[in-house]
Amino acid sequence: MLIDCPWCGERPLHEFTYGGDANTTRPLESTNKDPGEDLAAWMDHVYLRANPAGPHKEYWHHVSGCRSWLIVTRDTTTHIIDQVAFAAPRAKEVQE
Amino acid sequence: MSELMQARSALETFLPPKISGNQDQKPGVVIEERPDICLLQMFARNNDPLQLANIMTQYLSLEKPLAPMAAASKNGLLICATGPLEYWVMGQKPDAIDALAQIQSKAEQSASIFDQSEGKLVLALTGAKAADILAKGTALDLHAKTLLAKGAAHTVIEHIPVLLTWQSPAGHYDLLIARSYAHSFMTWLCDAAREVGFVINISDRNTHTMANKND
Amino acid sequence: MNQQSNRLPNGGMIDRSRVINFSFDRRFYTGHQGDTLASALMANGVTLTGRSFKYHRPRGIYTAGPEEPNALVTLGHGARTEPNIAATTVELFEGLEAFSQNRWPSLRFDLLAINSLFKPLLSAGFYYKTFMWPRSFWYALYEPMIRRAAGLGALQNEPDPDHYEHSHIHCDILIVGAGPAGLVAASEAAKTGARVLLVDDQQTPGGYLSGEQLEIDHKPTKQWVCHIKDQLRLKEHVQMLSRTTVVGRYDGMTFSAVERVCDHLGDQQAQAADLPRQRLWTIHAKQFICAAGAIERPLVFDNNDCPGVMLAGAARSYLNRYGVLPGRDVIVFTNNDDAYRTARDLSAAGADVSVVDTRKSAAGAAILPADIKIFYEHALTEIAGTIQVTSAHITPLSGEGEKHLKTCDLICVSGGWNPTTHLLSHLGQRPDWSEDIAAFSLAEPGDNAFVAGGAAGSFDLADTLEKAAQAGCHAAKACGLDAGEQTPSPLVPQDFTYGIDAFWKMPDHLCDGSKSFVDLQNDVTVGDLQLAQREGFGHAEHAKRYTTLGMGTDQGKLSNVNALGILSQLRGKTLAETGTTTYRPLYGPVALGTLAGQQKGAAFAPVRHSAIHAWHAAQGAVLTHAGLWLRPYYYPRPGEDFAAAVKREVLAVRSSVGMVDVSTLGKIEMKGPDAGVFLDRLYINSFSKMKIGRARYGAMLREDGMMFDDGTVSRLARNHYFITVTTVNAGPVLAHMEFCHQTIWPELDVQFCTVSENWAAMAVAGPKSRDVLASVIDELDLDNEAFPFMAVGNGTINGAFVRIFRISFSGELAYEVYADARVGQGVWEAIMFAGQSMGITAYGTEAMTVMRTEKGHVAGPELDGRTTAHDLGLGRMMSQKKDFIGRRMAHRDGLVLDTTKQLVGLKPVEAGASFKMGAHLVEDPTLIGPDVSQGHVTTAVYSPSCDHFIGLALLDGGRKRIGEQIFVVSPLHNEQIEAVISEPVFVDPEGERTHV
Repeated sequence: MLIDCPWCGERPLHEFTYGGDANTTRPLESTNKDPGEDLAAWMDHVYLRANPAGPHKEYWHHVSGCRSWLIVTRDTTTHIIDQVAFAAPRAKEVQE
Repeated sequence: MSELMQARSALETFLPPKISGNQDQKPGVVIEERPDICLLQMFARNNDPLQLANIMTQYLSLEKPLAPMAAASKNGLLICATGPLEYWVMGQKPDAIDALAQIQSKAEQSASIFDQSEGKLVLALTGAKAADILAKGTALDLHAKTLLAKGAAHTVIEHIPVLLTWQSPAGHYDLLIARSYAHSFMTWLCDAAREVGFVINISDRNTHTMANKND
Repeated sequence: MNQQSNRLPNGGMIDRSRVINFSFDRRFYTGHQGDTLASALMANGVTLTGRSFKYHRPRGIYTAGPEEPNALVTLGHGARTEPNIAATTVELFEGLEAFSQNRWPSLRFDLLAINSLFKPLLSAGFYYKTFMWPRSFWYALYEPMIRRAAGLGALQNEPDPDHYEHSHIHCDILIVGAGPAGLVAASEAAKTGARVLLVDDQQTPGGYLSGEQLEIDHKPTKQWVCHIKDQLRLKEHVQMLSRTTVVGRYDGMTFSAVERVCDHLGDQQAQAADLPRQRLWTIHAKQFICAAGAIERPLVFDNNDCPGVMLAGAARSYLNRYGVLPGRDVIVFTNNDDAYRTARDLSAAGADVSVVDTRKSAAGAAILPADIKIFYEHALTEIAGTIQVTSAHITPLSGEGEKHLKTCDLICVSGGWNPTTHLLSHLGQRPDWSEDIAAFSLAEPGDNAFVAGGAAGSFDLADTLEKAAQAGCHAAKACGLDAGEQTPSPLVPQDFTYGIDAFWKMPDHLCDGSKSFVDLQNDVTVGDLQLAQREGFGHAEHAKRYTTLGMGTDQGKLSNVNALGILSQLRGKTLAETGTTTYRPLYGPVALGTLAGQQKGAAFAPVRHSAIHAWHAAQGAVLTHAGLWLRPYYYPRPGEDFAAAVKREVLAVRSSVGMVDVSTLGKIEMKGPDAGVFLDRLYINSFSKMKIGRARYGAMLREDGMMFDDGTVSRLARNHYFITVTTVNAGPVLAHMEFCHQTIWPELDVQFCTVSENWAAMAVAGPKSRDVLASVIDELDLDNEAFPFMAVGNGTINGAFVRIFRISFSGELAYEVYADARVGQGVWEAIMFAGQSMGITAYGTEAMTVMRTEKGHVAGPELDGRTTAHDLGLGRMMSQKKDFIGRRMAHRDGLVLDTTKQLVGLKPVEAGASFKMGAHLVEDPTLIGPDVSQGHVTTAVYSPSCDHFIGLALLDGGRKRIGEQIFVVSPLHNEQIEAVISEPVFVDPEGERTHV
């Protein structure tokens, strides 16, 4: 499998590490001491996964290349990669 | 103990293997250690990612910023666009010391600068078969038409991180290899180069200078 | 029967001037340059080449290519012995020694042929029905017996001494097969300047043309092939790989190919050339043209496996390519016109030929001389001959009318041709049944792929050349290159006919199928397929596994389609409905050595050395692996064993001074105005308000609240931090930081990178450590007031810059000295020299582990991903004033209970007793079961400072049980001792020593 890193071009799979589901929402910072209040949102973010058979937005880390974190849309049944983008907004700016 | 500290090559105790090939033929690849290379890794700062790129573009007297994985030379420095927010600057001591200081002061406000000189073994690879030998270890397309005359790419060779730079004439590569892997890498390289014949020059001339490391 | 009695004086692509000596089963023969082992054997009249897998039936050469099911031989000597090599793929070389397989005592007289008497007991799936009683006999007797009686070649249990390698190659267009289709496609594509890679498994291109007598532009095809090859060679952007088989197609237009670099050279020549024996290529392409040709399939009839029966196309190959006449009394048995070319060519070479055709008529008969007899609507029965065919009966298919007995020494069979579409199907696309060629093929080869020639089901040369040129053009266009006008095809005779009529097996009234072999290699008959169908395993995928059809080294290349035809007949379905089994890489057998490449033995994984490694090695340190790093474990002096050395090292540190190499720690340098804020969010404790010139221990959690890593953060300047993390977590922590920076808090102005390689680091520890360092470090005052515990400062040693951290893992007064990697060893040596008079001792990772355990410092075994800061006694480190990764999840109800597994210390009740890491903590050692364990030992060492064993453990509600006793049990080792639960610290509990 190849991933077309926006900086480094097409590179083979062994240059990357899989970083998991990119569809979850990380709850905002809070220092509330009330247990239970935002626990559901955290549990969803840390554990709940849709695991679709089809296009899936996920994180990949180009560890052996430019070390950018990427958001990749990959079809989990065919491995065909539809889109690859930098996760970091500043990197995206540079690209444009 | 007043003598100055002696610097050592990462390959000081490396024993090159014997090859049984035809010794009369010109070696397909020449492997030479480049000691005294200064390396700076720069990351764009200040929430304006284009500032660093602009400074580099100006320094190099270019019209637009270096393309991804491109590199250019000026004043004895090789400047490499290795990531969306990252540049590597390579220069040979003692010639490039002034230029390095100059580019550091220009980039200071727009970048965080890290000295990587100690962390890499730098090998120059030349010869007719250099690209073929490298192809045994990296999936990078070294003959791609899209590859520019000078460039640099982070990649991995046999699980070993390498920053690979190339310069015209085609067939001159500088490999920046994570230092702790030096022996493993050289072993692989010699094995890969066996069939084309190779020559190794390991430097015994390693100088070392002090620098202020605290900012 | 030797001295090449079957070799013709002229013809073929061999070089008769170069004679090659070889042996088979220790008998000596000669052949020529250009022969395969099979063609040379055939030239010498050797027809018996092996014994079949199950029934030990005599077998001969069936094909002329890698699809060979029968002629499997063992080559090589000693460690280089390789079994199961198809003789049809071996390029003959001087001194080649080959041996037949699976027979005893000899090929001609094989006692194990007695297996065929047990045939009713050994049919498909026999091991589910027979040899089952008594039960114990299966493992003790039946299985070993059957295993010895069946099988192919044997392995020598020695490591493979050859060297193999991997490489990468890039192209715009990959063309598999350098037959006419591949050559034309390559020419067309190359015109556009596309980077073309043409791969073929033979040593020269030509494909099937090498075995035919065809003409292109009124000249022998050999000339045309040479011309195209020379043209392609001139082009710099065209690469050609010969002796190379593309074995697999993968995602992302990646292909695997095996190049046989040295197999044709013989051992000595190969070794001298410094070449790898084989090379595994990973091919990266943008477009793919499959021109892999087609493979002929046999007809299925009783005793169709007799030596002397072979594929019609193969017989042509032996004649036209190798100049061998495989027989003089020939029967050609066919259901299509292609085999008529065999009849014509053999007859022209002087053989007596008869043709038996299952069809009513054949347009192909037009090419035959008038005197050749053709029997339409007939078949062959009663094949006679054991080690060589002697005769057959030509029988009307209807069962009515005369049978003719015909003597023969060669039967050429053709059941049709199967397009080789495997590479097009490796990604899951199954071929479709094509009625007009009675074969499976792929009309739509899929994205970025094209198919031409035999692989496309086109067996007409004229059509092939036309379509292949188109494919070359289209592939180049798909690469964005301008193809221009398609080159007009050369002149080819337009007399091709095929007219195939599928014929899967003999009608029941003519034979019962029990000796009609469908899969020759695995001895699977029509009878076995009928059995499978009767027993409910008639579906293609089931029948394959139930009968083992198609599961031999030939992967069913000759048998799969015939079997599908037979099954569809038995099941009353069409072939379109039956479909094929799944195609998967690899296309043929590949040596494990080739797949491993250089990654074996010491080169399996890279090894990392610290800058000081040479010193450790020179001192005779015993080394250990920590991740990829090689670290000193202990430094034995003469006469010392492990225990003695470690004890000496620990005592030396605690009483005087020692030094350990800690260069392997992960080191990260961080800058930027938001560096402190960033660190506050990553660690459970705070760093943004730390004083400059100070170090602080830090702990980091995962998003789920579990402990992730610990280390040290030092502030070098306002916006400049230096971070250390554990050796094995260096990569994961850096990746985690990059994730947080790039995806969670991209607004923070912070930059960081790894500097693990840049610094050699050594810890100098013990009551005399200050004295040693003060004597050798310049420009830094190490007094306790000037440089207190957790201070950070710079100095020089012999002019070399060093950064000093006063931190302690051992619990003694200690300093970590960081020096530039290039002078690392020099600095180490300088310190060792300075410390000589104070008895400075080098110590390794084991002594380091003992001392950190004595102090209760947690490390890897305690940070196993299931422990929280709270469990490890670090709960108070968690800041209440800021958010940090893992904060909310670490405070989940279940994780803050006082009954969780908490860090405690253990001391044996009996002074001399010991226990193991991983031992369980239980209240009643007589109870064994899953619910009984209340915790486990994470670290267990002999403590020289205490003179008894000590341990750290995780125990349910441990902190409330200090002082109680518990049993420490290892049921697997039959060990149990009683221990006292203690505070997790055994030496200097107040921590005074680090502050002196």
